[in-house]
Amino acid sequence: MTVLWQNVVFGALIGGLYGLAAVGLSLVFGVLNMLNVAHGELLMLGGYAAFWLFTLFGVDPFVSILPSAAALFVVGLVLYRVLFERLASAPGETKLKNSILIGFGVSLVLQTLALIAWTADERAVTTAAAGAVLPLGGAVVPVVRLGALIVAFLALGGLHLFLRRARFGRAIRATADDPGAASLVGIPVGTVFAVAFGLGSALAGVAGALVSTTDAVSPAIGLSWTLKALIVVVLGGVGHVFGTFVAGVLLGVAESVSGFFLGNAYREVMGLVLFLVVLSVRPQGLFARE
Amino acid sequence: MPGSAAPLLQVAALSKAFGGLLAVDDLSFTIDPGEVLGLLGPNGSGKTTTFGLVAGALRPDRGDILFAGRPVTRWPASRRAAVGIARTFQLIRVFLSLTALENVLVACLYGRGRARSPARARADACALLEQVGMAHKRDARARDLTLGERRRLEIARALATRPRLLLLDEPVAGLTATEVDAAVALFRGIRAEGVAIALVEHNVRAVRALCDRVVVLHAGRKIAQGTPEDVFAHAAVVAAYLGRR
Amino acid sequence: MTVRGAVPLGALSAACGVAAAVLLPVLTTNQALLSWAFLVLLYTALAQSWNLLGGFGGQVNLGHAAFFGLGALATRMLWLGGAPVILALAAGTGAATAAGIVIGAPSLRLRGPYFAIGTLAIAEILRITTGNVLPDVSSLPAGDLARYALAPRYYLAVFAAVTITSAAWWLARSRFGHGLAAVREDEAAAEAIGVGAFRHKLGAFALSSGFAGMTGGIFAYYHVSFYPAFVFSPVWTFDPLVIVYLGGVGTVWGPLAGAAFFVVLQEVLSLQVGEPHLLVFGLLFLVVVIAAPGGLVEALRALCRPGARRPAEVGSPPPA
Repeated sequence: MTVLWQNVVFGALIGGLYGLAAVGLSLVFGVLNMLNVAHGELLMLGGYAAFWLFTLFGVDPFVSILPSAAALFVVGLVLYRVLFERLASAPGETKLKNSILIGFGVSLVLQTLALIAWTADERAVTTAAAGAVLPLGGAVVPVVRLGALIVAFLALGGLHLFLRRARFGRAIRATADDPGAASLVGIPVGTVFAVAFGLGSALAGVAGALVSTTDAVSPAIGLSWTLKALIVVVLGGVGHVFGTFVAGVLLGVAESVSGFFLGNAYREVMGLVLFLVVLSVRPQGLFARE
Repeated sequence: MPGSAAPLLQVAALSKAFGGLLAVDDLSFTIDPGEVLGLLGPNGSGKTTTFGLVAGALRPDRGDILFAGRPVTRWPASRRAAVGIARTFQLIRVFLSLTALENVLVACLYGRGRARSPARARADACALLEQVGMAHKRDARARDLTLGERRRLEIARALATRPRLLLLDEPVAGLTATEVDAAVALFRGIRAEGVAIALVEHNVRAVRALCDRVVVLHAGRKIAQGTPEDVFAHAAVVAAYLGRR
Repeated sequence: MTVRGAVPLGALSAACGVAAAVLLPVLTTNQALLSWAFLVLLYTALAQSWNLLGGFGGQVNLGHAAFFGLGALATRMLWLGGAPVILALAAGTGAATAAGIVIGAPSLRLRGPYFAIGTLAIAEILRITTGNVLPDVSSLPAGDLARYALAPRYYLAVFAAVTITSAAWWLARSRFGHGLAAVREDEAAAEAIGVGAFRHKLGAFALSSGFAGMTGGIFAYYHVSFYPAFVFSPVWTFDPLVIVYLGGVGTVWGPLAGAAFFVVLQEVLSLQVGEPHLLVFGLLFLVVVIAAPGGLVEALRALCRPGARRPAEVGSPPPA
């Protein structure tokens, strides 16, 4: 029983990161109607940023979140301007399909660049707090993982407030609802698109920095994180920051509980099966807004 | 014609709702073989939805559709096309990266004329392009055609299925007066070959010139029917439903 | 007329190409050259199988590896179990085709990107599950290893590349192929002229997955030892996808051109450190998707015949 409870706790902790990874993807999807399948590779870059800042300068990854987010914001902006922007005016179906293809190309390039620059070795950051744990109802909670969960939650809270309260955040939401109408009332839709893409990437940067504290970072982790984010977005729907976060936590719990019952090797299968079940019940996806 | 008593298309008590909005409400009408029927009404009155239901792109909530005496209500669109129901779309939908010839050829290979040999299908496709005045654009890709050309191509593609009933959704919208005359002449020719036509159109001149009978819809219901003269003479109809587009 | 002249010329060069491929093992004993040719043919076959659905049918299947893997696994098990390799290969192809129908029917109901993501999820489920159920490396027994010869593998690859390219050639001309092109362009409009969209997509899916299984089977017969999960790796989806776009998506000869380019560049660049060839392919892929949708085939055509007509995403029908 304790082992099961421990699994639930661990699942919830890692699930917070799934949620964070998914919110960036969901933001881009919701605002631009583009699916950036290189999202996991952006997260991977964020992880490396934190790893090198720690290794070279001793910067704690929780501090590296800011430079990592800033760097990824710029990367996202550049990727958008150079590659994705040309799709902005294409009709919906074409835009989605081509964004998948371009994202696929980007992921191939980023993955290979990382491999050439940093080799295939798995990297992890071991800070002073790495071994510390807190007890929780018979289970243990690693302090670093708890910290990652809290930071993820705070980042999403910040995003939520930004989208609700800030002038530019409202412009983003208006553009997501109806780009044509947004542009008519004077919102610079082109800038909003670029910033939303940058913001999505920055969130991947935050998630990557957090991942470096708890899990391995290597050039190959991108695909698996992209899949996780996609699953969470399909489960949680688009346009709700906290809904996505909750879906991420649920996925994390579902994975580790199924890992407990079926064997750890099957934990990833569970998420994918869940994903297919949801898709088969709603073929248009839970993405679809009413 | 001995069978002339039987209508080609029989629509009985058809209803279709989208969410809470009743787009087509208990609608019944018939079309005889070779007849041209106009469907009139303001925007949002259910004309295009009716076309979608008859062509099979939409499933009705209630009601029946009989085509040549057969109940086709549950048939998919492709099967209806194969027995002779063809349509054009309000927003033109041609196969953009195929050539004009390929657009028409594929319809010759499917539709009601699917038994044709490949060589025959190709010859027929060329003849149809000729008929709509597009022979010189045979090898142009549809994406490179003008709006007017795409519209003619779409009509040629519909004809290529050898329809018995042709549903035309605003086929002259956006055309110049000369082009409208040419289109009317084309539709007369089609009708002369025995094809029945259902026409959604706001252009009164085209409706008068073509239709044997019109049905007027409002909010999904039939509010008037008769010859174009009778219906247009009905002042209320003109004022309420045809005056504003 | 150029079009009329081009058909016999094309047929002639195709025949010459097949003859050259068949005679290659007789003409040379250079094993390196032969392995190189084998890889080109294998990648041509795999890329063309993806192209049947992805290019001609417009359905971006990101789970192609599932069918390559199923074909490979079934063929390998039967062959190592003692069945004649031809029978094992036929069974592998059949298994992949059946899986294609079973998996294709529900996943083709998914709209837009969900088809791509759903198929990717299916392939990943199969990869992880295979890795768990069959964790041990599959190696040839010593006896088989002693008798190993490249030539029969090579001839099977010739057979697969020719068969699958012929299928693409047929798709570019046949009634079914025209219907499939209509579905790719606009499903509702295709339905309206009598083309059953779902039936066509499922047919193309079955063809595509069956041929992927055949290619996987040949790979399993060729490769001395591999982990069973490896044949389900996403590279068996991503490599053919890149090759198809580089060569020319939805064209008959694009996969061959792309595969030759892919293998040559891989050979040339693999002497360097890391995997720079993937970087080059990634960048080229982006260039093609963004700026040159016709790929290599179109670039070559433009070079040979300046002012000639724009890319036929599906080849034009034969002259009457």
